[in-house]
Amino acid sequence: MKQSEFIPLTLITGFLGSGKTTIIKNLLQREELSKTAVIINEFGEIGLDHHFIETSDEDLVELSTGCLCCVMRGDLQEAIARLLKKREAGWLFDRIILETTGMADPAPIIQSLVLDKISAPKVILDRVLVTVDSVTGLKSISEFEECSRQVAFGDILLLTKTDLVENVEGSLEKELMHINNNAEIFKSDFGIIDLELVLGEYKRQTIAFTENEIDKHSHSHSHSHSDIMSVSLYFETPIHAVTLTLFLELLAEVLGSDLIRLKGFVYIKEAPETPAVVHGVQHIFHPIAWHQSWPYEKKETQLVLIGRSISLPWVRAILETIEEEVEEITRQNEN
Amino acid sequence: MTPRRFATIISGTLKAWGVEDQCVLKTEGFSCSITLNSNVLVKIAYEEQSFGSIWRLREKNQKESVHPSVGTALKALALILCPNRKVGRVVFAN
Repeated sequence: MKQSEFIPLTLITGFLGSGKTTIIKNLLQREELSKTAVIINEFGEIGLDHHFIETSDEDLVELSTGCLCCVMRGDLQEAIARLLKKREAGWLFDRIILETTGMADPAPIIQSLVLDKISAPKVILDRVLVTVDSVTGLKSISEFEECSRQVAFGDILLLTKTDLVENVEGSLEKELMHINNNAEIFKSDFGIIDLELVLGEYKRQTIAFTENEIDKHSHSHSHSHSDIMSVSLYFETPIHAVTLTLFLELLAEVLGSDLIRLKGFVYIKEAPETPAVVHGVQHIFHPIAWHQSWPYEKKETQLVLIGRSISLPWVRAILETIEEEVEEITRQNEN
Repeated sequence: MTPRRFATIISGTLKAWGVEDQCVLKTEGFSCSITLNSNVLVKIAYEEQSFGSIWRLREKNQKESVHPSVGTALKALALILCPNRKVGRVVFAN
């Protein structure tokens, strides 16, 4: 049997007690995920979470000497290497689920996966699922930076324990959208989630927000429980390819670690039919990829930036100015 | 460039660096001054010349520096206003 060149990895993160392990436990009972390897990162000398996961020892790697995001990145690489060795020996898993600790910052873990040049077949980060406790989520977001950061990195946000609350989701959802307006929000009762959220085609390339919603998010900053927020930039004019590089460099330069995540499509003058796909975690970016066609009707740049102290008019002004500078140089060169 | 965009760039940058509350920003057309404790720290001006646009920065008691792009101008401004701030460097993974 020919093994795939790529192995998708689903990162499941979420604050302490938000239900990560319960969800993984339920997922692993599904036939469709029977060929799944699990990496569990537990914090502290006595790891307990792995005892709640009913899977064979062979399928599970436990990392319990520290938090992945702090000191264990090397261990993550080693754990993946160990799994791949087992795969070579005949254990044909086709997916990896990685559970972080409740206090983990996903950024270094994601960066580690993105920058991994060693593993073959290549392990690729497929999606980031973040569990958010419907009961305590708002409080955790307001009190713990870790919780806000986890939400900021999510592709899919899972509201857990929704069976325990009534009418809390509204304000919590509003807060989650404020932090990360590019994520999709789903609810999970009793730790059960739709398998599509793990296996389905992920709409990573879709940014489905209207202008009004963008304005609403941009202006709701002062009411937020977290100082992390997302802004969405819509830019109709195509830009030169070099403008994109200069723009990313300037954002990284000015915003530093306050830029948590940036993703979206860019309308490039030199390739108007194939939008450039940009995806960065802090200052580490996936190589620019070209989408085969426009995923939405209008050709325009759509970028979501998540971080602190980011003003949408400023981002737009910077992009406009750099494009003007590049256009000016291009024109001078042509004359 | 418009005066409004010029002002947006400078004020947004001060906000991003977390110094907007400590400084007083006065903008007029394509120039501005940033004052701290009644002392003008730096004056910035944007000009469009026949050969292209330039940014002029004059730090208090220092020689004026001229920059050919918004990127280099903001880099120089960072050294004046927040020299210890850590900057990010874009890395593209393979």
